[in-house]
Amino acid sequence: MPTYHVDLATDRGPQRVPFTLDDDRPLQPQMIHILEELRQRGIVLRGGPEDEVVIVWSGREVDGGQTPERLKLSPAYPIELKMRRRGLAAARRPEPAATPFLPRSGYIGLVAGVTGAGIAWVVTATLFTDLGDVLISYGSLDIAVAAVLGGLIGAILLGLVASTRAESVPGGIALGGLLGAVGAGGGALLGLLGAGALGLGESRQSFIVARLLVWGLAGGLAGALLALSAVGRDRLRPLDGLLFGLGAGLVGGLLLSLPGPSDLWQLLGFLVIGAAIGLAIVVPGFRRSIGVVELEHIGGRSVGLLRHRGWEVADNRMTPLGRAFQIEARQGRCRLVPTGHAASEVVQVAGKTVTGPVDIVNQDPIAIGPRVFRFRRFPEASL
Amino acid sequence: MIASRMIWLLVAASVAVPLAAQEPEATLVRCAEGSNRPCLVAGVRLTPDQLRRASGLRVDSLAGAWRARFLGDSGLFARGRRSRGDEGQSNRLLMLIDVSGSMKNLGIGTVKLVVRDFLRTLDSLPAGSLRVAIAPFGSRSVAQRIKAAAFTTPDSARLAIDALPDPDTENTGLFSAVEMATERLGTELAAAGDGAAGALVVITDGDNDVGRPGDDPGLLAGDAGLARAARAVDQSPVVVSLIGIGHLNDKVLGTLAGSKGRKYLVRLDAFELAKPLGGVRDYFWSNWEVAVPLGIAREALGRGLAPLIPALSAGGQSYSSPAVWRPPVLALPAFGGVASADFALARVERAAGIRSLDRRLPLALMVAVLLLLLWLVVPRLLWPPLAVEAPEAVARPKSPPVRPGGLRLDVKEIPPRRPTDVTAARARKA
Repeated sequence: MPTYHVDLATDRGPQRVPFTLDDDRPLQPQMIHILEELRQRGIVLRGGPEDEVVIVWSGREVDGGQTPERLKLSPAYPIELKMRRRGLAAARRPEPAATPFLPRSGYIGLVAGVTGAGIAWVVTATLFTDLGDVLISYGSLDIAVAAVLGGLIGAILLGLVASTRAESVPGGIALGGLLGAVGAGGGALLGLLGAGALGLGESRQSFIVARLLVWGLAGGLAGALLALSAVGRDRLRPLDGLLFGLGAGLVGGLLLSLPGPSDLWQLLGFLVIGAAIGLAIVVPGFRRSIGVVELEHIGGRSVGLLRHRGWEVADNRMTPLGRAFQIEARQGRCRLVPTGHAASEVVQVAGKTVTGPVDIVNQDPIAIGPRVFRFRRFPEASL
Repeated sequence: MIASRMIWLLVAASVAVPLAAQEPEATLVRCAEGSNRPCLVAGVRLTPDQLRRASGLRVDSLAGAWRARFLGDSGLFARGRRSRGDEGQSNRLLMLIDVSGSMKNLGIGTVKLVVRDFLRTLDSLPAGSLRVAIAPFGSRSVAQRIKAAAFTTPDSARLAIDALPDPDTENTGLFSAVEMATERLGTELAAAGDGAAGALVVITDGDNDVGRPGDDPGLLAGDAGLARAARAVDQSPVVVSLIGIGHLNDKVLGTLAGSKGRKYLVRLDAFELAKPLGGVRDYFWSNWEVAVPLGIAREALGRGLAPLIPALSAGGQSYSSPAVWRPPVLALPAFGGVASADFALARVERAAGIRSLDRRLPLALMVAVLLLLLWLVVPRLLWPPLAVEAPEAVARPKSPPVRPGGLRLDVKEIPPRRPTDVTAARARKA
């Protein structure tokens, strides 16, 4: 743990104090700790209540959210702490009012879920026409069909989400297939066992209750397990998946109990479950975010759903935007911050080339080479 | 493979046990090999009333005498076949064999031979489904002999044939024997429980002839006796088969049998005697399987529980207890096999010219169209293509080309300073 010299601009004039910093902890909390310690000694930074702390090392402002190791700081130069007027740049650019909009990433979740469910229906309707050596009863058939449904919804959904977030698509497909199949198959198994234990299924009414139990648990557990993939970004996401899947499962079970063409009702039930799980993985997270950054066009040409990129911007989190930049959101304000990696392309925010941290406001276009993203703030997160 | 099968079995058992505990279930099968037409197959147990109605029909006629009611359609064609099934009830057969003096020698010998063979053929019935008692009758100890007859398995009943007394000087107390036997059978059936069927077979070679010295007192005789015995047959829940050997009074035998009983007059011939006994054996075949070809697709059967009610149309429509059609909870109904060729449904289906009812292709096309819309059309409506001019390329200042070897030729070195060069605008003060 190296010892750094920290220069402070105080009311008593510049002061220099030595402090030992952890290289593997973010800089900002360590600096706050230093300031709190100095305040106990009666030393405070010079500045006003509207000012914010700036950390400067070797003449450049550094991101407090990063570790000294990541920022490649060395004790050879002192770290300078000073106050500056908060949001000076943003104040110069008024933020357009946030208006309701439909994020394309949310639509992709819906489409991915529906696609997985539609393919699952075609597969199960084609393959599972006869019982045999493996599927020996309608109970095992139910579990197998649920597993195929959950697996295909999960594979396509998490594969597309991974593609949208510029992450590993094969990894997303494999993870989604596994989580979806285990969730839906396990839910169906639990539902069947529960229905058996409760003695359901002996009358028309109790058969429908058993059906709702199986469909609900299959949809709910599939949604919850698939949403686990996003729990790192949003802890409430599995609950969203569970509730959306459960509700959709109940609707699907009721649909299948309608008189008439059961195959059509089953298809609709599958599509409802797929759409609900797809929305659950993406949309409720938006409600808890400030906004989204979405790819708008590449070189002036719109892109299809498969090439779409988009990230939700959550408060008090860093949202990676490519390799060289990330979006930092604090108390509703967003900044584009370099990660420290060398940028291979020129980055512009609202037409101005970015060299260091820069505030971004609603509707700001962010151009990374030929790709133009746009930050949109949700009305609920208006400042 | 074995492990996965065990898991499925465990799951299926845990799910199926509580669901299947109450009523027999109908199974969905293909009507014929390669056919997509669904057939529901259900096990049916004929009621004693149905058995009585069907007792005169040949098995082939009975197989085609089935109809069914399912999902509001009450006139569905159905085919039946005999099934071993699992027997819950034990039916009863009482055989009264005449041991009067006229049955001496050839008569009793032929009857013993035929009845022994008949008992052997009862092995084709489901095990435990029938208990048989054999009682001799003449004009002495008529009531005691009938009461003493023990109902046992067909195998054991063969021993009772050997124990029949040799015909000697007894007369024929036919009316009393029939009345007492129907009473005994009625008691037996009541003890056996609901659903048990009974039959009385009487083999005799003489008309009712009692009232001679040595005969039991009070044996039925004359028109009054005949009427009383006939009433007993008519009111009995069992089927009474009267097999007369030789030249008996056909009219009396017909009166005794009445409308519910059956009479046969045969010569003393083993082959002829065996024929009516074959009908008696078929009468006890109460377990049937009924296959009902459906006019709707397999996929349309997923709504929920529905009763399948088979009906036997022999001697008037008579509905059996319903079997329950139970579809999967989440999946579409799948075929559990192919209907047995015994039902002869393939021929029926060919004759009807019914084609495949598969709807998967149109629905799959519907899915494809929906996905096409969602992937290609809707996004263009929600986010119209941008009329954006390509932004001017913001490029870094281009570095001049570097020649192989890395030596830059565009760099001009600043000439070395000379002592006379002046940097400052004004000369430094000395």
